[in-house]
Amino acid sequence: MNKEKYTSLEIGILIFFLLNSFTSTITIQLFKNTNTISVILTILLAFVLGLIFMKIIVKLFSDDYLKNLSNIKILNNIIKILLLIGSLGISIYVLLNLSLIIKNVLLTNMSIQVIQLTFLILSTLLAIKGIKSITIAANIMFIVYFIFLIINFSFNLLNVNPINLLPINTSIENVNFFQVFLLTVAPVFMILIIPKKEIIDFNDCKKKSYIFFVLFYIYMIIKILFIISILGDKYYSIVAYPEIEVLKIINIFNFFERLEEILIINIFIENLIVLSLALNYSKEIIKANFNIDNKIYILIDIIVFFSVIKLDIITNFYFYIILTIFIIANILTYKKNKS
Amino acid sequence: MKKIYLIILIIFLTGCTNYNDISNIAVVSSIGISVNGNNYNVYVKVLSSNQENEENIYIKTCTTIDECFNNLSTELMKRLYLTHMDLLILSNNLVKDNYNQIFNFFLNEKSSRGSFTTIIVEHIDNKILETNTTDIKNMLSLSLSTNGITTDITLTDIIKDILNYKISYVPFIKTQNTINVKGYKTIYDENKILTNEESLAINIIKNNIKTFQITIDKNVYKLEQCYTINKVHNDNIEINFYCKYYGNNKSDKNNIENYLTKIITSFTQNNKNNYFEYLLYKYGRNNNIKYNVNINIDYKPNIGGEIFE
Amino acid sequence: MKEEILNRCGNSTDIIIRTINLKNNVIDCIYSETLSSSSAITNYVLKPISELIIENKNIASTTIINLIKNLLTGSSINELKSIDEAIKNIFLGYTIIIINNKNILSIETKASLDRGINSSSIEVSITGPKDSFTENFNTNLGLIRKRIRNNNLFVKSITLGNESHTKIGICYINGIAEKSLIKKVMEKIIKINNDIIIDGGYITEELSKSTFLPQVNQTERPDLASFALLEGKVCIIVDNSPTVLIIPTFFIDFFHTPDDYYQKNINTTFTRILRFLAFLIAIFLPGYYISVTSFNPTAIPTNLLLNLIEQHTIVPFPAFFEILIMIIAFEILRESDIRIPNKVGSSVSILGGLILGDAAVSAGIISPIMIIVVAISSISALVFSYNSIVNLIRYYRYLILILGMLLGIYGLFIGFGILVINIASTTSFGFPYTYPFVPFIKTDILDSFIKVKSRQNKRNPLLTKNRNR
Repeated sequence: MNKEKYTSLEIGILIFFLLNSFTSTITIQLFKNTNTISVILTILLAFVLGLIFMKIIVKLFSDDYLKNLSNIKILNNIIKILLLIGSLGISIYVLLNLSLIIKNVLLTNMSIQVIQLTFLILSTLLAIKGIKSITIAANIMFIVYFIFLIINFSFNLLNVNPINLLPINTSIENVNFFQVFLLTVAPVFMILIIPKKEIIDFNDCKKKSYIFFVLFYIYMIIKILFIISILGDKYYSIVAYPEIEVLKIINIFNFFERLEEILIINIFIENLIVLSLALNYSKEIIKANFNIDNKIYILIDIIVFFSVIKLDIITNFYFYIILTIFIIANILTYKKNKS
Repeated sequence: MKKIYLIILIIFLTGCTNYNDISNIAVVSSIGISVNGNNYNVYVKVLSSNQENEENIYIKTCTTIDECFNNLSTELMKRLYLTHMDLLILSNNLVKDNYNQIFNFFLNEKSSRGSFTTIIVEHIDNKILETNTTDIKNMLSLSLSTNGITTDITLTDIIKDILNYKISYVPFIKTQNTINVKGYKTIYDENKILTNEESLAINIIKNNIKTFQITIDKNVYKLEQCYTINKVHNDNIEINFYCKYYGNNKSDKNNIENYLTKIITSFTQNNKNNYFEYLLYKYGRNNNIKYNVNINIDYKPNIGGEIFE
Repeated sequence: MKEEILNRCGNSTDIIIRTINLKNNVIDCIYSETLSSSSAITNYVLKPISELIIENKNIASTTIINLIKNLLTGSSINELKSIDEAIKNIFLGYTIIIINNKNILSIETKASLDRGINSSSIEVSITGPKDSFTENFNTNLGLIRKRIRNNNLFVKSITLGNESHTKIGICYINGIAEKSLIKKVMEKIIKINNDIIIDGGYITEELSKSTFLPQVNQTERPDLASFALLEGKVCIIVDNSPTVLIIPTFFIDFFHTPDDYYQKNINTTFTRILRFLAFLIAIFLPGYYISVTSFNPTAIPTNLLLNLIEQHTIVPFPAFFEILIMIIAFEILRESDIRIPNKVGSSVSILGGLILGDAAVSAGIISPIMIIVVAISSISALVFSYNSIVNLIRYYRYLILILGMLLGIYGLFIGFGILVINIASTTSFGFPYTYPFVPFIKTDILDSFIKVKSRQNKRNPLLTKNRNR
């Protein structure tokens, strides 16, 4: 058993985390002021579009993804820059969203830069250890994540009120499926950093990737409808973080109340994995051009940290452009494999 | 080694400035809000850690609720900490604008969680504030299981109700001689104190009741395992109430059914029907509301006995 | 010749020379008084030679060597060529016989300097076997061979330590252990260039330099060593060390007790979950207490919060220093309890535990809840007998305590992240430390934190996977 080999389950869980990277921070905000039918429709459309791109991702797997991006030499450098913009953009927004949540829920009096810096350093610690360590960490944390997920769902089941999911035959509105698609699928392209030859059973890996892809979308539909059915669509729209609002209601045996501060660890885990992967990805791209080792992380951290300070809104138009650029840049690398 | 750097870095960054010791917080157990002209009177009960002086009640008068809290905080020399709050007491004289302010305050206050019981009293006095919050909660849940007139409702529930159908039913408590429950009071769009029968009716309609007893002509009937299913048909709302009656006389069944049908129909005729409009909207209907009340009491012989005259 | 030997040994007083004069031959017996058994010398050397004296014959100097060789009754007799060899043999406990200052013979007369096989003192088992390794290489090997009577148990021995010349044996079962693992272990061990190796701990330190997590397990129980060998692991026996090293070691191994395989599965599962819980409590409880008292008191029930506030206001220190004082006091108590002779031990625990704790509370220096927190955390750490995991717990406890003091519950999350990162990035001789969770091995998950069914054979599929291919 070689250390550097990846099993298909490990890849599948990593894909799950990447799909999940913006769910509890940005995607959940998109479903404000909408209705059940639109939620289902949005996610289904994003799913169909995502499925097409998953097929592309699976085909894009190669042994030298970053070394030889395209056959045309000029394009090669452009793609590299675009990929770098994409991965840095993802890291910046992950960091921003997480620090906002932590500040709102846990450390209301702390300055946000402290939270951002500590989280950035922690992610860098993981990123330095390499992609295999990130994969193993993701797998260990998935167990914790799953246990807390079960607690969240099971102790909230009694609060579900199906009337909140009605009405069914209303007009379809606010279907921003393209945004949902971008937020879920774009980060998955970062999985391509794993060389194909190091995956033990690539065919099985393909299968597992699709399984986790489908599981994730089912999970997302259930999660959002679950939150709406507890809070009601109007209350869902007025609160800042509906997911945390749901955690606040949890009451275990009339004794363990006010557990949202501990259960929020799931959001922490999601973002830690994605951020460290994005940092590692950025480093690999820079490393492909210049032969610099781990010291490059200092530069990446500085770029990310100072960009985050400048930003103050959760999501904006430019972010979706960055994600689109990232996807396009990735697809451009496909030509080489064909010829 | 990197971890040591990390820790040193954090120490320099935080400088322990945000260190917030628990001995510097004032744990608020209940808050009372009443309005007096343009001013708010805010009553805050702070839990004391010492055994001798059990609770401290503070009163502040100011133009906004935030101002009151800030003043109180500086007066107490402690941060007011609302996460462990159990009870919100609203006075009878609040109107729509006041409610908006109150809800906004609690939605935006970071240490508040909205999961505390809310009640309305005639006027806030020390008697209700001094009462233990768990006692009031117990009283509300007991009144549900005995008379079926009130429920333990939280602020989040009230906000949800108001967002959905502009009316919320809040327990109304009288404090003149003794503290006792007087059914519901509607707030926001409509400000009205409901009678016991009306309160029972709304509880039945909203499926709040599991067990309760009713008194008809000095006879007490105990009903158990109750639930309500509201069905929306094309032109009417069907209220189906199912219950099990453990009694000695099968003929009592009709008595109860007639009585409950009467109070529910009278409630639906005499009150604003925002809840039903909401239901109709949820089921996608826009017709005029018609009601169809079905009360199904299932008779079960009681094991106990009864003395006949 | 004998003078030269004496000189090279610095005329040490424990080197004894007994000269026997036969008619025309001179026989010198040289031995170390401390390493050889005098009864063995009397029986196997002096008695046979004395028979020659009684016979009182003339023996030619050329034939006497064969005669003596035949006469001696010792089990192993060698003819040596050089003085160097002779000196080496003296310190191995042999007796050297020099005949006519020309021929050198050595005969085994080792004295046993070891204690007998005692019951294990650290890894105690209730129902399992009681014997434990001793300081003797051969005894230790014998204790393993006693359990695995199989010709496939191979032992390769090397001498390490430039000055101490310690014998080290690498044991594995041929056909189960993976060849690449054995090669890797051999390579790493040969590279060790220490002057002295007194104990297995020296080798452990050399083999797991990179991370804080223990990558080599030590056991004093022969049954655990045999289990490990059957799993496909490699055991290293170090002479003069009462513990055997097991390579590779996974994180999950520290949660397994000797008793696990001698009782019902359901009981094992219970104790394993308990140990994992103890691990978490030992690491996170002081940090959680600090973060609750200084940042996030939300999650604790109201009455408990009031209780905490009341207890906290009397204490003159901030919570962080209070807990630091208590933890360090406990560490000192523990250390003194280990070092102190048994007879005084109970008085230390009375003085430290009862008097100090009670007095500190009634003097108002420490709050009672703090003593409870520290006590629970420390007792949880005592569940683990392996010293390396106790050190790991201690390290993370302090780390998370500081993080909790600075960042509250968010600090705990960061501490948890560091722990997971550390575990994820560790490998034990090329094998992932997180087996059997990552890589996920379905059959072995049933014998990890839980034990649902016993494995059909004791072979570890991860360790033997490549060999089978």
